[in-house]
Amino acid sequence: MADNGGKKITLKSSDGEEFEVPEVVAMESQTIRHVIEDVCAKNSIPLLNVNSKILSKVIEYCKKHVAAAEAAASKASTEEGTAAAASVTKPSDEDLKTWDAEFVKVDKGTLFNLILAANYLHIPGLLDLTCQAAADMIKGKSAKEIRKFFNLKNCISPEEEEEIRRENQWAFEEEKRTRAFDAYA
Amino acid sequence: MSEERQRGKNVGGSNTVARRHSLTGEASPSRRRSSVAVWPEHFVESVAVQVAVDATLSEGRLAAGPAIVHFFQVCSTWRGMSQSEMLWQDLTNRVWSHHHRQLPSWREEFIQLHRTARNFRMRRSAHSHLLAPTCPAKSCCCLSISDTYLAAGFLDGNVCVFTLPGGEPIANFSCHPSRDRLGRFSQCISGLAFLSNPTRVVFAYRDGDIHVAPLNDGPLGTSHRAHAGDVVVDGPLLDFSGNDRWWIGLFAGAPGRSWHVWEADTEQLIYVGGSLTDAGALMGWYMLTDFGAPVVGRVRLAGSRIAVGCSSSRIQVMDLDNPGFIINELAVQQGELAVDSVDATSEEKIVYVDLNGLAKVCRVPTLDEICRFDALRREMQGQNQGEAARVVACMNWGYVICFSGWAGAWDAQTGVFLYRFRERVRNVVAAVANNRYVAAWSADSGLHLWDFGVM
Repeated sequence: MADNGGKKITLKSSDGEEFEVPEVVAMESQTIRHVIEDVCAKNSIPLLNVNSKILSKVIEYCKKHVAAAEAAASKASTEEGTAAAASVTKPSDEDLKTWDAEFVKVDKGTLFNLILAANYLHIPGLLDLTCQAAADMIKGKSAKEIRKFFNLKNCISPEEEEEIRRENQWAFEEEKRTRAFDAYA
Repeated sequence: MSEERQRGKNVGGSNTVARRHSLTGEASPSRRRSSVAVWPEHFVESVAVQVAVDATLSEGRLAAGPAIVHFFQVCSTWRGMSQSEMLWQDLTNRVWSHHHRQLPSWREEFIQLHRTARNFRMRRSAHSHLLAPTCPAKSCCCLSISDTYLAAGFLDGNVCVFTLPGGEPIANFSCHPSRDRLGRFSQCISGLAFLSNPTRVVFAYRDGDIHVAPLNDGPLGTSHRAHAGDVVVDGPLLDFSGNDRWWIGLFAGAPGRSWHVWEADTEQLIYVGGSLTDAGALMGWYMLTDFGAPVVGRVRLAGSRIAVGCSSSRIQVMDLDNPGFIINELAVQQGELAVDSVDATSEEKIVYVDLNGLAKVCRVPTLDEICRFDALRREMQGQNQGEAARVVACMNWGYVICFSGWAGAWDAQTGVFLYRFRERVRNVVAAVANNRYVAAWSADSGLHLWDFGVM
């Protein structure tokens, strides 16, 4: 990603640390974009809900995705009309997916803070990525384990659980596999 | 994730989020607790959708329903999410690739799709016999189906349209008697398709004429000619398919003119070219005059922008955003591909069967094999190995239905044989399926319809 000459924006975390980033990177956040476009941001934009540790991760994500988008756009313009442009799998997409997968290999606390930051800053790609990571973490877990994972307090009674199941009986209609008939029924 | 969901914008000051539902599991204020997590509602909805999608990817679409209900059982507040139409719309779009709602709510739509899929799995359907056969020269040769209509095209140029699920005939388009000037079967229907907004049926004759007829608007039984064919220049039209964006025709008989592509909106022909059917040119001409001439080629739409064409020895995948550009091609041993068996779904999958009865389901456009199975199951049917058998196949999102003297259903993801249809349907010459219905024309017994949407 070209990092020379473009306008810079300063983002200030909740614990007072300042991060100077290219405006195009900052505008990966719809929230920050609105502030810049509507409010005409001053020298720095305070982000009272995001600490420095998480903000640095968010900036890392945004920088990577801006760079990937610029590289893809550059490649598409040079290969326009060729078979390569219509190739089924683009190596750059695979590289980015690999990078994303590594990016969310963090502890639960960091992941949760990334989710909250992605929501607060309205970065749809990061929110989707962290949702996927959270979904992966709870895969196969029981309701009790999910409550513990998300630090939720249980207030569902066994009767309520049963009521939910009754309301959604369609999902549990007995699946009686039919035999593979080899003769006429 | 839905773009309509609002987010907190107040960057500089207050700690607001646009929707501050406290997803703490607190059913009522009297049960407040401390140190609980606060999760944005749309985040939890997004995780719920992801859980359902993951279940779909690992265990199939029927696993999505139980997975999402399990999610609702985590806490009372998450249970409340079961009332979110946005959630059910997301689930319906992503699990079932279904984007238009016919029922009053998206939740009902999702449940209907789940139950219909379950019915396919469990061989639970309502069978109807819609039309008896007449003489062989007036046999049906192609079918098309939508959520609400079934159309049958005949060798004598007639087209019949039936409503679904009832199967009542509502329109008949007769062919002008003088149309057979270029051969007895030049007026035969080569293909049909349904269009929406407004609802119409488009049908193409073997001589290349294309007609469009309204179904909801205007007098039934009338059509206009959208394209005048020129069989001398293009050869016979072997097969025709279409959707709201594209019409595709596969011709044979004139070298270098196999593929024809029209823009559906303007009805304009935008591409002519390709050599897919050049090797079968002579057989293509026979289709104008000979009853029972072998099917030389087939074309199907396999997604919003991909068409698949085949001859008995090649499969080509065309990018419709760049008409004429062949994304991928597969060579099959000469003459080994049973053209009648080729079908495709809008989810970019195709099925084809070779003359030995080996069926393959592949992804499009890569043509990577997903699964394979024996479509004839000769050992189980008590038939002789090596005995030739015609297989007519059709597929929907999850199942392949093969007709070869009997009708069977296979899982399109794993190739596992599921069951045999109870109804004896022999000598099938045309078949079609969508996510709810299967229809087939048997030269012996006429038009059959199976409705798997019965609840």
